[in-house]
Amino acid sequence: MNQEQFICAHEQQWLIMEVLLDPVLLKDMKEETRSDLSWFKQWRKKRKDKKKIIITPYQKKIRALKLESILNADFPELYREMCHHLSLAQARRYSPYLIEHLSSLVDRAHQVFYRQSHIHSESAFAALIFFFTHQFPQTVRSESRWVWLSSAVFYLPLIFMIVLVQFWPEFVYSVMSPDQVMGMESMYDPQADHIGRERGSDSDSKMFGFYILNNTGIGFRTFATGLMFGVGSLMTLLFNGLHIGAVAGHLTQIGYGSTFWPFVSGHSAMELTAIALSGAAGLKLGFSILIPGRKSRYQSLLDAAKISVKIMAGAAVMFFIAAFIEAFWSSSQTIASNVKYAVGIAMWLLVFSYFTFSGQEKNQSIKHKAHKKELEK
Amino acid sequence: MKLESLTLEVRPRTPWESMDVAVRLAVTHWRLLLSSWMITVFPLFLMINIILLEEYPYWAFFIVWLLKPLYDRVPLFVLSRVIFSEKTSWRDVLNAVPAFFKTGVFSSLTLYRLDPSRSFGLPVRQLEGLKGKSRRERMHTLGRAYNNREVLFFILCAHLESLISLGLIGLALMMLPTDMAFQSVETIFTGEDPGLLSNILSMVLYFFVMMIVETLYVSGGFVLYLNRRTILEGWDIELVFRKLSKRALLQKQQEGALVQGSLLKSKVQSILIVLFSSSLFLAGNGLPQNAQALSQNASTAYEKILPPVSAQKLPPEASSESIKETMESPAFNRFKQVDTLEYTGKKEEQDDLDLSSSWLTDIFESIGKTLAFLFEIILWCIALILIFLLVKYHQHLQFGFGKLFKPKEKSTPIPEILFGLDVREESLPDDVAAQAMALYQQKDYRASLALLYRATLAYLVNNYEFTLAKGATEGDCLKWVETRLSSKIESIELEKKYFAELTRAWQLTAYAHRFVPEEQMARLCQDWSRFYDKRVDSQTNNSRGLNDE
Amino acid sequence: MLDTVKTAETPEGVELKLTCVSFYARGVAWLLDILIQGFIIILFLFILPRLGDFGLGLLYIGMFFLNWLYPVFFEVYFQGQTPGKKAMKIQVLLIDGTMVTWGASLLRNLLRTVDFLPFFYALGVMTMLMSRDFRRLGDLVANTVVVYKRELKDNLFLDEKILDAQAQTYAPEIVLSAKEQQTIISYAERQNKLSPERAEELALLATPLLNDLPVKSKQSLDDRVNHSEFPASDRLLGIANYLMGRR
Repeated sequence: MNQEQFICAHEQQWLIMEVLLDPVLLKDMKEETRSDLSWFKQWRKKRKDKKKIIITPYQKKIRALKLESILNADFPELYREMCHHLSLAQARRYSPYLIEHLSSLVDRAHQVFYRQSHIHSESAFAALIFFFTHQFPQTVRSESRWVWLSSAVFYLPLIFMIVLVQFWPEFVYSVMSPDQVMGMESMYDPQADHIGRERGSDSDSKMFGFYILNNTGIGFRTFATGLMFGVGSLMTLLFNGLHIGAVAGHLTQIGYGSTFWPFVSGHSAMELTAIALSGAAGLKLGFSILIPGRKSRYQSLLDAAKISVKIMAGAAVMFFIAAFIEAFWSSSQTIASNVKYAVGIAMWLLVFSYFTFSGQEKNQSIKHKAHKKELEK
Repeated sequence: MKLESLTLEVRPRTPWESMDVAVRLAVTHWRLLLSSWMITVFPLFLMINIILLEEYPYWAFFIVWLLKPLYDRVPLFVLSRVIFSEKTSWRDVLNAVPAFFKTGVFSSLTLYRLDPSRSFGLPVRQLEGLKGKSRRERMHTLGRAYNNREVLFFILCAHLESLISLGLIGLALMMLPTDMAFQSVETIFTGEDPGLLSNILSMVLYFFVMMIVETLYVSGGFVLYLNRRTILEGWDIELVFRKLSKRALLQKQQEGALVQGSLLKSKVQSILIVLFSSSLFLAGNGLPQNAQALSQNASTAYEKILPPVSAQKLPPEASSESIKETMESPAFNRFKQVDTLEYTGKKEEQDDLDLSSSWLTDIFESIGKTLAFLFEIILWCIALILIFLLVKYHQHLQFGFGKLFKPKEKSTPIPEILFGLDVREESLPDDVAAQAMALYQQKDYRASLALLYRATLAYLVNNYEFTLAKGATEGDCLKWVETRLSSKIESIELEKKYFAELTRAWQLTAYAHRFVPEEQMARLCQDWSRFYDKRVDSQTNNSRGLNDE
Repeated sequence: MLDTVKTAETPEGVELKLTCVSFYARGVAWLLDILIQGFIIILFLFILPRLGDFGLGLLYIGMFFLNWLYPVFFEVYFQGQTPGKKAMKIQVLLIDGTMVTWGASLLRNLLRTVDFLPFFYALGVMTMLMSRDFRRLGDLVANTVVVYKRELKDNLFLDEKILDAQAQTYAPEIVLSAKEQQTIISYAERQNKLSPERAEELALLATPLLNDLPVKSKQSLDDRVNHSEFPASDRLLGIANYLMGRR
């Protein structure tokens, strides 16, 4: 078979493939064959026709295709055929142009064929839900040792600082500048003007945006800098722990606890856990290079990265939730402190039980069925 | 210059790709490049600084910067040799230094110092050895009809230089304690007369950054130049053709060696004649000065058939004509009409929106407040819905909350064929065990075991949600049965044992052509009807219950 | 041989050629993206603060998404191309030549933070210099690679004959390898882009294909150009015709 016969024999398929790979073209062709177009579409079609004054012979060939043949085409089958054609063309040494054309078609088809199925399908939403009900908590559980390590690095200095500042108040200045301390004090001063006055939704929204930008950004950085052998994550965790501890300890020590603790109780569960999780993801990344186990260092890093990015994505959403609570609930002045404490505790319980229990699917459902069947007999 | 010894994959590339290849090239030979830079440029640099730095630091900077085109000749020399896989050491570089000064150094340091396409033009000066008018013409030929990416490339490299210096400064500042870092930044910006130490430091920094970036820059220009010539002169084609003729010659020689006597002679003669005539033919075209030498030395003509390509010049007029033709060819003359809408009515006078006016601001603010209120309400609604869902499905949270939302698995239909065996129940005979036994007695061992095995699979498929991937083997089935079926119930345990035995028997028969003895076959058939036969099930349900006990 | 092409094999056994992109083109793409992001932020700054504090809130959220998720969104939904990458005709792919996934894209863009250190991607550039396929740290971790997007060239070959149909057809007298055949064909296709003299000169290199060619050795090249006689070139075109199946 010479090249021209080869082209004659298979060109139809290539053209169909071309259309299938180009959603815009496909849509156009579907529209063109439909007679009952609305006036708007007709108008648009007219404009389009105006544009297409010059049509290459190739486009003409595509236009000449029958719509049924495209709709009936089986994409995987066609893709396999194309691969076959390409190999044939290479083996038979057809023109480089032809081979280039075929291989670029195969290339594009390959990308469509092996695309992640979740991206464009309708099950994207379901996949999202599945991520938060199953994958995220499962991943956190399976990586619990990094979570515990990161929590230790984060919470221990926090608690340590709170306690320390109670006895030696001046230690607060070891992690914060006097200006920062002054700022903190004025924010939570029970005698201040803004305390006891309800903030409008607009300033709440502003703070919501700010918390998202700032806190989530910190979380991302904590994660990313973990790549430097975990040092970045450790430093960020440690520093944040000390800082938060110093603020909490100082405000309690000077007697502003009545405004401070109700404020932070609501969002603390989400935010602190999210920080610890970002740190855990970063630590996993960094330590996978240091302690690769039986894999090569690079392979170990690749595997760790796939897992840790899941944790980070979940943590990012937790940051969003924390931002929402912090901006709209914690800031509210009309809600009684006890209610806020109650909600805070509830949130902690929720977070804890979410990570402990959620997504523990019984894997033995089939065994169950076999059991039942046997018992029925 | 021999194209055959090129270490670079030759093919027409886009300018961007050429730059990428240049990076690869420089990185591959970084040791040689940097060391030759150190032995040639560093002494010069040291000398300038010793003389000038203390007294006139700015002059020192200026001169170091000014002499860049001179330094460029070092990496280009190295690259032009390693690219043709010539062994090069720093000794060769040192020996070549005097020659650098004959390559139009003066004009490139003065008139062309600010020429952004410096590195692209350098090979023309240094490797082709062209000067003055002929150089300009050559550059014209090379640069025409070519989107001048070398200028863009220059800009990119300039940025790379500042980027790497900034990076190194940043690194240095990170190492310093914070206070000192701030101080040193301050001294940079306040512009007080910097001390000698800081001058030396910045000079050293400049030297190293220059070393890296100039190397990349020269290599980029060189590869762009090579690529341009590849396109203009078809180097990739030339390479293959040369190899082709060499191969053909070898082949003919081998053939010739096999053939005896006169035949051989005539062949060689004919080859020589062809070679000779073509060499003459060639000698006539490019370089007349080589022609005599070639015809004198016809036996080695083949090796020298072509003059070094670098010395060939395209007559500018001829090439301009061909380029013109090319540009007029249909490939370059496709037009596309693009319609855009343009507003042709009168332009309205633009209102000067006085945004500071209070009522407008108020309106905006109140819109903002309303929106914010709506926003908050929406967010709260979402939160409430989430809480509601949480409460409603809280018991699912423990055992797979997400089962409700799990991505829809396509319900796999009950398979009808497993590795070529029809496992529909309808396809089975009524009394499987008896039929199998009958087949066995007719010595159709294979068919009998196949029937038994098939029937068992059919039972599994229809009663235990037995699903396997396409292409599963008997082993996979066995594994599935052993892992998925509960082992707590004794009868199922027996069933598993039975299935294992049956599988082994079937595999022996089907693949090893070893047949099971009759008593085993009989037992298998008997057990089969005990475990799987529905009719037996209904009749002997009670007795079976007793058995299990 | 020195090259920037990386091959990946598909499960169907077809080899994909991925041409890796170094920091020059990527830098320009990044710059374009930054300009676009900056433009949007300036637009926001101009409009949103008019809405008071609520506007500021939106501005912050917008900044967050622009900063962190803008590249992820484009890479996942637009064939691995942010607007800047699209302008430079480059795209992000997984190392096996398939489309970039959510996880990989998120990973490589979050790790920009590290690549950016200590100043303007200095670490990223160093890693690109050292790694084989110009991959920065984010690419190494996410197992992605930035390549030139393959664009379909002219489809003319399917419709028009590139070669002059008038040219005669010759069968080559020796057996040609695949590469040689393809080179002869690409010679025919590129022939009109070379100057005629050079084309003739190249054709003469393929001596074994030029047996019993009427060579007038006395004639100089210039003469032949004047008479527009290119025997060797015509012969090769004839062979190319033969190889392309016009027998």
